[in-house]
Amino acid sequence: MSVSAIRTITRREVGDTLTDWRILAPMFILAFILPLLLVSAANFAIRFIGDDATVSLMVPFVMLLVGFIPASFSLITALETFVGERERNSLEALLAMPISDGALYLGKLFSSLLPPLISAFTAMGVFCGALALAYPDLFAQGLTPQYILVIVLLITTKAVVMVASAVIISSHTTSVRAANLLASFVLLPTASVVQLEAILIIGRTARSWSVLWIIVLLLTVMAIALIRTGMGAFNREEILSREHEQLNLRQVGRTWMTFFREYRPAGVTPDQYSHVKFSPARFYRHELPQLLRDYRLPLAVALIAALSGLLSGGYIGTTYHVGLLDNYLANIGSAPQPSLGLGLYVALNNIRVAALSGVFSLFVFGVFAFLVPAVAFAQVGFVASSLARQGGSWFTLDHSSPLQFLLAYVLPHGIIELPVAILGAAMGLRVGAALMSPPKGFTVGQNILWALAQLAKVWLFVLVPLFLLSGLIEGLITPLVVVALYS
Amino acid sequence: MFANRYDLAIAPLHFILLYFIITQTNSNYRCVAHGDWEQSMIEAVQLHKEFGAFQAVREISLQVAEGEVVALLGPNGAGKTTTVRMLGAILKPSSGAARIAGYDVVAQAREVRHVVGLLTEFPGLYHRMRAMEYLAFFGALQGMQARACAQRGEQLLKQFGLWDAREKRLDSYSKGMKQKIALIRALIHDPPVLFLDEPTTAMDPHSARTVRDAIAELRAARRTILLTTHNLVEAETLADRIVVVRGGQIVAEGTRAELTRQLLGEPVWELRLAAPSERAAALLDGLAPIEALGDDWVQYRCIDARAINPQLIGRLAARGIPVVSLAELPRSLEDVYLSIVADDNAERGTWNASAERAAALPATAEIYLEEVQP
Repeated sequence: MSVSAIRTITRREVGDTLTDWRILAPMFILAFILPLLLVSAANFAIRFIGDDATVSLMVPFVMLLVGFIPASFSLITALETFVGERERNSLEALLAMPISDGALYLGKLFSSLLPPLISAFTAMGVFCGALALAYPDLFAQGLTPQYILVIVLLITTKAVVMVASAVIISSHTTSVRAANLLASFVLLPTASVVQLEAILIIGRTARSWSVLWIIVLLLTVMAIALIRTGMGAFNREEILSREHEQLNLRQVGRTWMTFFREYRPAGVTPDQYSHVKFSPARFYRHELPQLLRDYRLPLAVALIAALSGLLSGGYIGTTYHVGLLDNYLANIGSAPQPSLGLGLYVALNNIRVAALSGVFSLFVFGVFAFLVPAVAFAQVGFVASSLARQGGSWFTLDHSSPLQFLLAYVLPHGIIELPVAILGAAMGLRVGAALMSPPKGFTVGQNILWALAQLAKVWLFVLVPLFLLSGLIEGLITPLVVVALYS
Repeated sequence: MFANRYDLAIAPLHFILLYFIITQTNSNYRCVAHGDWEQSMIEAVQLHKEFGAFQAVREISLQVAEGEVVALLGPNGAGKTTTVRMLGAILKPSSGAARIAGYDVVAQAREVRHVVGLLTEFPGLYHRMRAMEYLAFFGALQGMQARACAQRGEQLLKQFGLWDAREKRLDSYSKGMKQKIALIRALIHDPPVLFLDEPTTAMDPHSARTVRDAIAELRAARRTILLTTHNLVEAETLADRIVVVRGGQIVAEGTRAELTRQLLGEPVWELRLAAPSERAAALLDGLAPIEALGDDWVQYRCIDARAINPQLIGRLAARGIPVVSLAELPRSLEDVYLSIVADDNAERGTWNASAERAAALPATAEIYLEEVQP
């Protein structure tokens, strides 16, 4: 990837932006006028509220706002990047240049990011400077270097997330209008994050600042994932080939059915399928083993998630006393009456969780799927280690023994349920990863359809029967084992 | 190994010299790879492109030699632009292969984009820029040094009469000026291969002439040019060879004369007499097939005019039949083109219908013409 090509594209686009008074004027107003207005409003706020300490709580939030408004301008320029050029017919000449897709994508990304970010930093600088000069006490009370740093990072990461998402939208739509409509998918979650940040900033407890750092971390991970997704999905061929914003549901359905009926590794295009009918025997005998082999990586990640959950739960159980769960620990040894209804309830719940976490993983890069085994195993780890903390021995079987808890409450159905949960998580993770980097031969859409088809197939023919079986064991046998061991 | 200290001292110099020889050889090789590709600078074999179920280009095979100008003619939607985009390494072929100046359009896409100058169908300029800034931008993306780019830009702007407008922003340019600056953009890195999509569209006659002269100069400079055009006069005057595309397939290919003969048959000669034509018609019997007969004129197809016409004149003179004129009937490229694509617009109800019909097309235009002509 050529750095000079990235720099050339960025320089041109930034130059274009900075010579357009329609963009420059609002940026100037937001960078200089708005912060000064807000600082001058501080006097009114102090007089109105009558308490410097309360007003100082608002200062970091106002700084966040001062930075966020110009940073949100990045959406406008980013949405325009590819689709705007396409509408003006200038894109083909650019695509004909001897530069890589990555250089083109990053050049556009940086050029969309730089002017609004510079404007945001300027605005925050002007705000801090003006506040420090006009109200030094308020500045000292309201803003510490740590607050300033976290706010700057929040603005930066949010801007990168917005721009990376908008560039993805821009490279996958055929008109600026369509891109603007899709922008709500970026703006609404971002606005929600800003609201959450506002609550945490104004709340200003030690814990809320830790949460803000976690938000910075999550936004960074999301920004990296989105940039990776954008680079993976960016394809000059697709940009030029896409002629109409047309949703052909029949075609989508046909492609999905092709992927569902017959298993081929990701990247094998539908025209290379033999279009045989779905056969459960072929699926169980040949396709499922092949699928599991191909899903090695997501399975490993899901297993790591489960083990991490187990260790985390164990650590929490050993280190902390969670009052909310005292009642649960006190009831160890008791079990509900064995019933088919209980078994079906448990099975249906597991089936529902597997389906929903898999499907929703598409929108959150597999996070839901990742959480399911992590949380399930964390519960087991927590209870077992809590029992150990209360004096239970791992090597004897008695009422407070973690070993007995595992043998009675987990092992009978868990031996089926937990590996199946890991498999379900792996399927969901693959769905979540479908957006990020389609394998060679697949478009992003085909990759999503392929992952969803495999999820549906495995859910229907593996997860549902095995969850039913484990649920029935949990409803009918586990209570008997609990009674037998604890009586 | 080293005979004396002097040898030891100059040994590193040998390595440096060897390094230069190798690097120079390599760079020369690159130039040679571009310049000596005399067999074909553009070579496409069974190039095929599908967009979903729609087949935009169907197994097009094409060869263009160095210094040759080939015009790609065809109605809208015939697959010309898709072909050019595949050859320009912007679109990947669904199947088939193509090489430009020896570089594979898929495996060596960046090299292909470097040796190709592409004039797109629409100028598509960055309107806030000025001419030199615009050219500097594309020159930089082509890896040119700023100074070399500025010199080349100045030369081209002067050549195309845009030097005086260099300080104006591109949005103030007229349509013709925009088309010219887009052409200059394609030429800025002095590429050995040019793909020109409708180069004189929207130009006034004077500007169009300038561009045609420039294309002629490029041709004289042994540049290889693939010209996509609807302008038959342009194709006729500029192109060495014409390729007619229809329904994503090549339906006719050759020089103008070859196409005329291939598609409209042998030349038709018209003999005008100062006497009834029946007498002359009788004389043509066994000499040339009669195409049409009027009161005082006769038209006949002549396979070998050099042999037939003197004989005919001799016979007429011997019979005392007064001849007014004898001339070959002019047949334009338009006649040829229309004979191939005339019914296309009538049948353009849906793309599917057109595509199905194209699928049923025989391999050569000649057979196709036999099919569609009444």
